[in-house]
Order: sequence, then structure tokens, then C-alpha cells
Amino acid sequence: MSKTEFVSPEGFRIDGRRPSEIRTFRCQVGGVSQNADGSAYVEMGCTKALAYVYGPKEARRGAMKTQCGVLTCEVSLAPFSTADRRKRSRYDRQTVELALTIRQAFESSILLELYQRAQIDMFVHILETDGGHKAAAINACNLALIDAGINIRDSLVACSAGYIDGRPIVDMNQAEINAGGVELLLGVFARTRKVSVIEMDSKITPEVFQETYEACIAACRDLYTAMETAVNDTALRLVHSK
Amino acid sequence: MEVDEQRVPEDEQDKDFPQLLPLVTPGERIGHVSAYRAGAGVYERRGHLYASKVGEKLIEQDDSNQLPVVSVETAGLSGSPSVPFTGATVLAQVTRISPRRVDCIILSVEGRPIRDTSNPYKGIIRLQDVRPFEIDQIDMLECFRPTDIVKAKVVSLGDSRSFHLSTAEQDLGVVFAKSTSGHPLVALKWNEMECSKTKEREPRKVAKPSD
Repeated sequence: MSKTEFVSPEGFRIDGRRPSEIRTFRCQVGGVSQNADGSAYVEMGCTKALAYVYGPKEARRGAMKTQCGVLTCEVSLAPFSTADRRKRSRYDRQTVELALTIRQAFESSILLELYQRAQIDMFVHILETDGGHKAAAINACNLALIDAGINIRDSLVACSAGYIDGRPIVDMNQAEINAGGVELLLGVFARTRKVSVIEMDSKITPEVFQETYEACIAACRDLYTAMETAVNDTALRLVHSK
Repeated sequence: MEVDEQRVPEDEQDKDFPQLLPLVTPGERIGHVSAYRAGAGVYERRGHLYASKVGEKLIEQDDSNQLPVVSVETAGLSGSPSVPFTGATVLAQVTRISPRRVDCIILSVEGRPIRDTSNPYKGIIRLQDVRPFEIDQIDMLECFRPTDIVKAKVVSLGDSRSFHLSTAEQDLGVVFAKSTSGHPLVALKWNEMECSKTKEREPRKVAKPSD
């Protein structure tokens, strides 16, 4: 396979996946932190993310709203997580933007009207990035919220997809992202399929978008199946150990 | 009551996302408003009821002629943290006493401890909420003392600073207190407690012990 070829004539990608195949998905619901009210760890291939949820607790003065709860999110990208090792400040543009995306996504997921005058804090740590760390962060937050027992409308599942060599590929790794093609980030509610997060910077035709979007939805479904199984396994184990 | 599945629009429930295991998960449809009322961990949208937590589905029928209540019992993941709500029974510790009100911090809500103690929920018991009778004769210092543990009900979310609590019921009031000599007090009657060591008597608004 030549270096510029991202899908071989046999239909395999650089890391041996099919175009519609997601990377190995591993997750742990709860038990990541002693202090947090909910926590989760998510691995999508080599991309690893941790999420902690604190709350609901008494809202900070000034931020308090009387009609619904307040949601905050903070993301940190570990210095060793990227190929070029560098420390990022708390106000790094990239992480602040991701935190905002996550917060807005979950504001539509959490039943915030149940948490009047309370505050829910989400903290995400990206431990390793190999493409798709935004999706991993969203998935980790979703599992941590479930673990914390916070009322949510539906599971929010996120995945990325691209379009290379005339076909969509899902859950791209860093090598595929570096190719500089299309990158679509999609966060959907698992059951209603309603889109909560959508992010894409490139200009593409509606046909290409449609194809990429559908591939991404299918990948979200695969991720959801894996996440749901993990949640159920954890819950069943805890019920039995009672 | 049979739920008409045909009424659900195509996009509402996706058949590609199947139900995997016996527990319900957030977003899972668990009934129709014509068959059930929504309880804890359940929300209603377009006539259907959906789970908003992971857990076991419970259906309870009370004595009234109303529809049974469907709720989701959290399956003990890290558990749901507690926030005081109107009508909740809380345990609170008295921090400050003034002639018109008692300030306290809330320690637990409906038997669930508040884990984050760095920024506690504050509560106040106003003079008129101490007991239901002879309100004009209440002396706050004969009802509570700082450090007492009080069982109270949340009457309202109060102002932006604190929840309004009430002890105006028989089984509400001081449940644990220490005497001036530092030993635990034992309840004697509704307005008096006795030191377990010195037998000294002190006035309190005592909660009637349950059975």
C-alpha cells in the first residue's frame, strides 16, 4: 500500500479496519474516582478520555439560576497526550472551545429543570489523542452522568467521520485526520437520533455530506451498543453485589 | 392497558437501537401516559414516558383511583447525589441562633448524606415554623442550641441563600444534642431532654422518636 492510499483496493484502511468499522471501544462506568459523584473512562482505539461529574450541589453564587440547574464543563488536554509535547493553559483556545461544545450538548441532554438552584460540574481529562478526542470526551461525559444518576433525556453518543478516496470512513485516527480531508463530528441522542452536536469545517457537496452523515450515524449506533452493554453490565453487577 | 404502538411516529423510537438487557437505561420508553403516571427517574414527552436514569422499572398502584405510578429505581451506580426539595425530610445541624430564626446546614436529604461538605446547603427555621401552636410564646433558646442535629422538612426553596425548613410536626425537631456538660441528651418529653450522665434537664423542641 502506498503512503497516500487511505483505503486499499481490498477495502482496508491503514490500521486494518473497514471504512465503516469503529476502533476498539472500551469503557469503564464508575469507579474511576473516589471523590466524584460519577466518573467514567473511555478508550476509542488509542484515544483515551476520563470524565468526572460532581453534583448536583449548591450552585455557586452569581451562577445560580432559580428556574433550572447550572452546568459547567472544564476540559484539560494532558501535556503528554499529543505528538508534540506541550503544556496547555487552562484558557487554551482548543480546550475552552471543546468545553463549550460539551456543555451546550449536555444542556439539552440533562433534565436541568429538576436541578433548580443546583450546579453540576463536569471535568474531562484527555489522556491520549489519536484523533476523535472530542467524541471520546462526549462519550465519557455521558457515561459519567449516567454513573452519577443524573436525570438525562437520552444517551448522547458522539463519533467522527471523514470522507477520503470517494467514500466515508468513520472514527478516524490521527493519521487519517492528517490527510486533511473532511472531518465531521456528530453527537446524537441514541434513541431519537436527534442531533445535539455537529461540527465540520470543510466545504463539501450535500451528497458527500449525506453519505458521511449516514456513516457517522451508523458508527454512533455501534458505539451506543457498546456503551449500553457496559452500563447494563455495571448496573447488574452492582445490583447483584448489594 | 394496552399501548397503541402505531401512534408513535417513525422517527421517535429507532428499531436499530434495541433493548439489550432487563434494566432500563436513559431514553428508553417505558409506557404511555394513558397507562401510567410518571414518578422519579421518568419523564414525559409527546405522550410517552421515558426513563431518565439507569435502574429497575417499578410500577406502584396506590389506593386512589388514579393511574399507577411508574418510576425508575437507581441501580446503585455511584448513586444519585442529593439535593433538598420541597417536602423532603432532612437532617440539619444548627449553626446559629437568633430570636427570630435558626440557621443550620443540611447534612442529609431523605437519608442520603450530602457528600460535598465544602459548600453546604444552608437552611433556616423561622420562628413560625418551629412548632404549630403557641407560636408567640416560643423562645428559640428553649428549642434549639448550636450543634444540635435537627430533623426537619423542607417547606420551600426559600431565598437565594437558604432553604426554609420546618419542625412544626410531632416527629420533627431535635434528634440528637449534647448537654452543657458535653454528654448526649436523651428525650424525655416533647419539650425536654435529659443528660445521660448528669441527669440535668434541658429544654428542646424534641422530635418524637419513631416506634
